[in-house]
Amino acid sequence: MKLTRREFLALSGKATAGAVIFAACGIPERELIVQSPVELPEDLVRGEDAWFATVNPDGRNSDGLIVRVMQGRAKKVAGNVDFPVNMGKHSVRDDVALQLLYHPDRLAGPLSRRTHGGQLAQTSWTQAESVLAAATNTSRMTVVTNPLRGHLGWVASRFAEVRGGRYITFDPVEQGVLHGSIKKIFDADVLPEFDIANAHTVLSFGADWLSSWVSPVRHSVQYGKFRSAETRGYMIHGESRMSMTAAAADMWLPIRPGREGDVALAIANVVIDEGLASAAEITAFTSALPAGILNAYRPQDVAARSGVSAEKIVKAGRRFGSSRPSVAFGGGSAGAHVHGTFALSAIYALNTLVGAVGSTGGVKLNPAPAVEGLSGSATGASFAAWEQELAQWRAGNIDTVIIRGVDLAHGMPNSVDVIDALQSVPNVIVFGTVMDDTMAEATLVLPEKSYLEDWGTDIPEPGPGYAVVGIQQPVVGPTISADEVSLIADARGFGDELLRLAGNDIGASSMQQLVEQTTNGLFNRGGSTASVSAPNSNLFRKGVLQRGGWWDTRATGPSRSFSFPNFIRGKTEAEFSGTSGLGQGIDLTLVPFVSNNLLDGRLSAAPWAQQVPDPMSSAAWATWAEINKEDAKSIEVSEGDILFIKSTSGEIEAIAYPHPGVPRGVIGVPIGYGKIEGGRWAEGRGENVLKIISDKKDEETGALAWAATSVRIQKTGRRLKLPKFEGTVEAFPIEPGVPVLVVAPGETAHEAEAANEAEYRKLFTNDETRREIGRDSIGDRISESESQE
Amino acid sequence: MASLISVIKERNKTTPTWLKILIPILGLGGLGVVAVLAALAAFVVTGWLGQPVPILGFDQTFEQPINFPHTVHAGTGQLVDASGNARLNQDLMPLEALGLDCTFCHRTVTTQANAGVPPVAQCAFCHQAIGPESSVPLTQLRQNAGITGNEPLPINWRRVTRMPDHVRFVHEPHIRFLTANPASIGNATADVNSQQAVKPALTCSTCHGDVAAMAQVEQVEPLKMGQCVDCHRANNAPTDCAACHQ
Amino acid sequence: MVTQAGFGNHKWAMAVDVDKCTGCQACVLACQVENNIPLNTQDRFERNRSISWIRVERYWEGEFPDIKARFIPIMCQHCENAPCEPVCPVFATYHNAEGMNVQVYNRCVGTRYCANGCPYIVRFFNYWEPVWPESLRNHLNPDVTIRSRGIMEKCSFCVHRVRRGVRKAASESRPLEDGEIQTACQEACPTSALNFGDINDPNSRVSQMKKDDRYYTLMPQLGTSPNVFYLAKVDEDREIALTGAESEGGDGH
Repeated sequence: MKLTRREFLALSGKATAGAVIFAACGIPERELIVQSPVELPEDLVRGEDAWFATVNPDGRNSDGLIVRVMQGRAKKVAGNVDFPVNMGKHSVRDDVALQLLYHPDRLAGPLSRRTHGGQLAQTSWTQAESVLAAATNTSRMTVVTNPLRGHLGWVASRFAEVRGGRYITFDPVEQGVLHGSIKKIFDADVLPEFDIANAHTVLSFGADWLSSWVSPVRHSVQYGKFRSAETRGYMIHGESRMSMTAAAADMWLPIRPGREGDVALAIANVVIDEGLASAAEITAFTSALPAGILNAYRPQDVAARSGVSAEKIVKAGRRFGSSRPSVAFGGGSAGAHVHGTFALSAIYALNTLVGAVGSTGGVKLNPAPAVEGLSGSATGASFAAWEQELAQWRAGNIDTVIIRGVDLAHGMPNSVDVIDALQSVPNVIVFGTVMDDTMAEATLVLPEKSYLEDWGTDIPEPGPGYAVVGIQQPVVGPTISADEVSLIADARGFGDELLRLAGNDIGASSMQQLVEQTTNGLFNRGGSTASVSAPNSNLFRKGVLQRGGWWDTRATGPSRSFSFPNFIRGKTEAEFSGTSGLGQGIDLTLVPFVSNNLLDGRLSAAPWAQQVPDPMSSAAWATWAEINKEDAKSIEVSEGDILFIKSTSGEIEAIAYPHPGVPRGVIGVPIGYGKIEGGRWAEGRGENVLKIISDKKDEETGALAWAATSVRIQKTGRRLKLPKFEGTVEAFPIEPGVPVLVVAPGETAHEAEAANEAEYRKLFTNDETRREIGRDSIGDRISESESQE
Repeated sequence: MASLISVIKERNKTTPTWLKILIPILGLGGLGVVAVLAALAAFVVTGWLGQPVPILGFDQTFEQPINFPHTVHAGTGQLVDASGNARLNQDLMPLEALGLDCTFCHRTVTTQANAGVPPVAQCAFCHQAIGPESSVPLTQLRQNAGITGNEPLPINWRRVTRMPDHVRFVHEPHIRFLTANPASIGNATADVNSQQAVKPALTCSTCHGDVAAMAQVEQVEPLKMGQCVDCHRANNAPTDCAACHQ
Repeated sequence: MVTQAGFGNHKWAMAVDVDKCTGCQACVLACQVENNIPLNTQDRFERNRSISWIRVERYWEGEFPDIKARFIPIMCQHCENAPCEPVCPVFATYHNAEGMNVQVYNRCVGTRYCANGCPYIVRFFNYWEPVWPESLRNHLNPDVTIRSRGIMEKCSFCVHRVRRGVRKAASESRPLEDGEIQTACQEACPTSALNFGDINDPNSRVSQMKKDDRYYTLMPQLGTSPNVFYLAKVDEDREIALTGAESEGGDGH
C-alpha cells in the first residue's frame, strides 16, 4: 500500500488527536487541472494568473471589468481602471458573476418536453438544435430579451425581422417613463450623463442612484469626488422611503408617494421667487408652461400634500438655486405612477432653471452610439405593449417565443396571467444559465453561456458624455466538471445560436465576427486616434480587447439649446389601486424597491447576492417589509412578525422590519425574491412583490406604475427570526460620536469629540439618565480620557 | 529479595481470591494499554514529523496520465532503454537527450508563483511531427492536443512536489535570489560556485534535485518548515510568519 | 522594533473616509470573494455567526423626519497595542514589523480568547467546516488559505496582495509606488472611502489623510493605537443640533 504524505496525514488526522492540527486547513482549489481549455494567446504564453478585460452587460449599466484568470478559472472580478463608466470600481452585482459562472445548478445541457404538461427531459444539442430550427422557421414568432444595449440585442431584433416575427424587450422595473421624460425635456434618445462629481448641489427624486438606479457604480465614483471636492457637495434627495441614497443625502425629503413632481415644482417656485435664476433661465423654464400654472405648487400647499415641511422645501430650493452648479434628476419610484411622465418631466425641467443643461456639474448629453446600426439605448417595452403582446399569445397567434435574459413568469404582475399566455404558445424556447420560473413553463430549455464565456459588445447607457463601446470577450472557456468526464455546462451563446439559425440572413456568422466587424468599423472611421492607437485594424482590435473597449473623449454629445413642451397637462395627480374587500388591517402604499444585490431578481441564483446584507436593514436571505414604527405599533407588529401584504392583485407574506426611516403610510418591500425555480439558493426563498403590483400604467408611456399599489397589511400571527447582520456583532452607540464621529463643516474631529464629551457629560450628570444607563464604568471612561488630555 | 517474597506471601494471605485473579488480568491489560500508547505515540511522532512510517511505503511520486520522461527532454547525453542499450532513431542513429532548459517548458517560474506546466499545444508543437506514431504516450498526447481530430482536452498532470499545507510558496523571488547568489544554491547539478549571476534553470535543483536524471519525477526534499526557515535565516530572508502563511 | 528583512521598511495603514461611505456593501463582498470566506447561510445569520471580515455598520441618529442613517465600515483595526495578541496561548496572533496584526491559522487552536479580548469585535470563529459545492470551488482564491472549523480568522490587510505588490516591485527593481497595493475592499469601494497604503511614506495618500482635521480613531481611550483610522462624517445639520442642545440645556440628543 502506497501512501502519499497528504493521504497519510488525512488518515492520521482521523485516527489520532496528535495530527489533527495538520488536517486543520484545506487546499484552496483543485489545483491539478493546470491548463485552460480555452485557447487564448495569453494562456499559451503565461500559463497562469492572466487578467482579461471585459464588460458586464447583465448588471445595471455596463461596468468594465478585469477578471483574474488562473489556470482557466475565473478567480476574481475587479473594475477596469481604464473603463470610463466605472473607472476601476465594481459592485456586489459584478462579483456575483463568478457564482453564476460556476453555479452548481447551472444547466448542464438542453432540456425539452413534448407538451406543456410534460416533464422536462435531457436532450442533446443536435436534437435541440433541430427542434429550434423547426420552431423558428415561422413568422408567427416573438423574440423576447432583457433590454440589450449591444450587438446581442441587434442580433435578436434582426433575427425576428428576417423571419417576419417580432422583437420585444422586458424589464420588470420599467425605465420607460425615464426615457420618455428625457426625450421630452432634452429631446435626447439616450440617457444623459449627470455630472455629479463637479456639481455643488445634487437634487434627486425617487431614484436609488447610489444603489441600483441606472449606473450605480459610476454614480458612486462620482459621489466620492462630489464629497471630497474643494466645495463639499450638498445632496438633497426626495424619496418616500429611506433608501441607501436617501441615507447618503445631506437633506432627505420624505415625500409621500406620488408627490415628487409637486415638490420639484415647489422648488422651482422657490428658485424663481427668490430671484436665484436669471431672467433667461426663468423664461426657458416657463416659456411652454401656461401662465399661472406654477401657482398651484406654492411650497405651503405642496407641503400639505407631500408631507415635507415648507421650510425644508424652501431650504432645498435656495440651496439648489444658489449653490451652483446644480443638477436635478429622478426616476425609480418617482416615475412609477399614473402621472409618472409629469413627475419626471418636472424634475428634469429643473435643470433648465439653473442652467445645468450641457454645463459642467450639470446634465451632459450623450452622443449617438459610435457603432452603426446600434441604438445605444435600451429600455423594456411598456407594460401596455406587453399586455397586447400577451393577448396575441393567448389568442394562439404566436407559435414560437424565444426568451433570453428575462424571467417573464417572475417579473410579470398577477394582473396579466403570463403563465397562461406561455402555455398558449406551442414552442416556448428559453435560454439561460440556471433554471428560472419561465423555464419551468418552457418546451425547450437551452443552456446559455455566461457573459464571462461569450463575445459581445455593450454600449454603456448613460455613457460618460462621450462615445464608449465596451467589448465583452470570453475570459474562460467551458469548465470541466469535478469528475472530469464532462463540462459543468455544455452551453452556447444566444447570439451565436440565432446567427447560426439565420444563416447568411443577418450578415454575420458569430458574435466574435460581429466584435471584429465592430472594431474594424471603429478603425476605419478613424477610431484609432482615440483610446487605442494602432497602425492596422488587427492590432487595433487586440488593443481594444486588452483595454476592455474603445472610447473617444472628443466624441461628445450635442450641445444645443432646446425648449421643452408643456408637461403640466394630462394627469398630474397620483392614483392608487383600491383595497376594498381585502379584509382587516391597515392600508399602506406599497413602495417596492430594487434590491441592492439581487436587482430585479436576475442575480438571485447567486448565494453571494442573497447573503450580502441589505444596506439599510442588513437583512439577507428573506423578504422583509420596511414599515414605519408607529404603523407597526398600530397593528401590534414587531420585528419578526410575518405580515400579509394584500393588494387587489394578490397577496404575499413578508417579515416585518419596523424601520425608523420609513414615513407613515408607506411599506417598502424588496424586489427580486420569491423565485419558484432558480437553483438551490433562490428557489422558494422569500416572496415576489412584483406579483401583487396592480395594473396601473403611466398615462403617457403605458409603463407599469409599479409604485401605485395600495396594500392592506395584516398580521399572520406567525413569527420568524429575520436573518440579518444587525446584531451579529455588538454595536456601540454608547455615546455621541462613537463610532461614527460627525463634524460640522470646518469643525475638527478633536473639537467635535470635545463637544460631544461635554454634551455627554451633561447627560451623565443628570441623575435620571445615569439611572437609565446604569453603568458607572462609563464614568470611569470619561475620567480616563480626561487624564489623557 | 526475601522481604519481597514475604510481602507477596503476606499479600497472598490477605488478598481475596477475586483480586488474585484480577491482578494478572489487569497487568496484561496494562501491558496492552502501554502497547497501544506506544503505537499512538509513534503515530503522533511520525505525524508530527509529517512523514508516514516507512513500512507503509511512502513514496512521493506518481504515475502521470502521460508518462513524460524528463530524462529525454531535460537530460543530456545518449539515451538508453530499460536494458541499457542505446536508443536508436529511424535511421538507426543513437538518440541524444535534448537538454532543454527547465524554463523552456516551466515558463512562468521566473515571474509567477507557480512554475507552470506547459499547455498541451506547446507539447504538440514539436510532437505533431517528432516521435513515432507507435508510441503510446505520444498517441495519448496527440489525442489531448486535438491533432487526431478530436476535441482538445487538458492533461490532468498530478502535482509531485508539494509544500506542507497552509504555505504559500512563490517561485519568483526564490529564483531571483538564487540566480543572483549562486553560492546559496543547494543540490547543485552544475558548477555554480562563481559569484556571477546564473541562469534560472541552474537554481531549480536546490529543492527539486536532479530532475533531468529522473525517469519519473519524485520529491527529493521534505520541504518542511525547518528547512525553509534554516535557509531563510542563512540568507537573511524574511522569517515573518505571514511571509509564507497567508 | 526589529526591522524585517526582505520586505523593506513599510508600515501599512488604512484610512477610512466615513463621509464618503454609502453603505453599498461592495467592500463586504469583495473581501469575501478575495479571502475565501465561506457562504454566510441563512442559518449563520440566524445564529449571529456570520463571518464578515469587513462590515458596514449602520447607526440611526435622530427621529423621523430628521433621521440620519450613518454608515461606517469596520474591519480589524490592526492595533499597535492589540488586546487580542497577549491573550493567545499559542502565539497564533502576533504583530509583525509592518504594523499588521497577523493571524497564523496553523497555530490557532481555537480558544477564542482573542475574540473576547477584541473591543472592535472583528474576529470571527469558524463554528463549521467551510463547504462549497464542487463547482464553486473553481473560483476560490489560491493565494489564501481556507480556514477550517475551530479556527479564528479576521481581516489580514490582504497580506497576500501586499506580498505580491512588494515582490513585484522588487522583481522590477524599483521602489513600491503609493496606491500600487490595493486591498480587495479598497479596490471595490466605488466612492474611494477606503484607502490603504504605507504610513511610513510621508507622501502616501494615507499619510496625507492622517493629517486631515477630521482624523479620529475608534475608541482611542482604550489605548490600542490602531493602524486603521477614520475621517469624520461631515454634516451641516450638526452645528444646528449642537447649538440647539446648548440652548435647551443639554438634552438635545
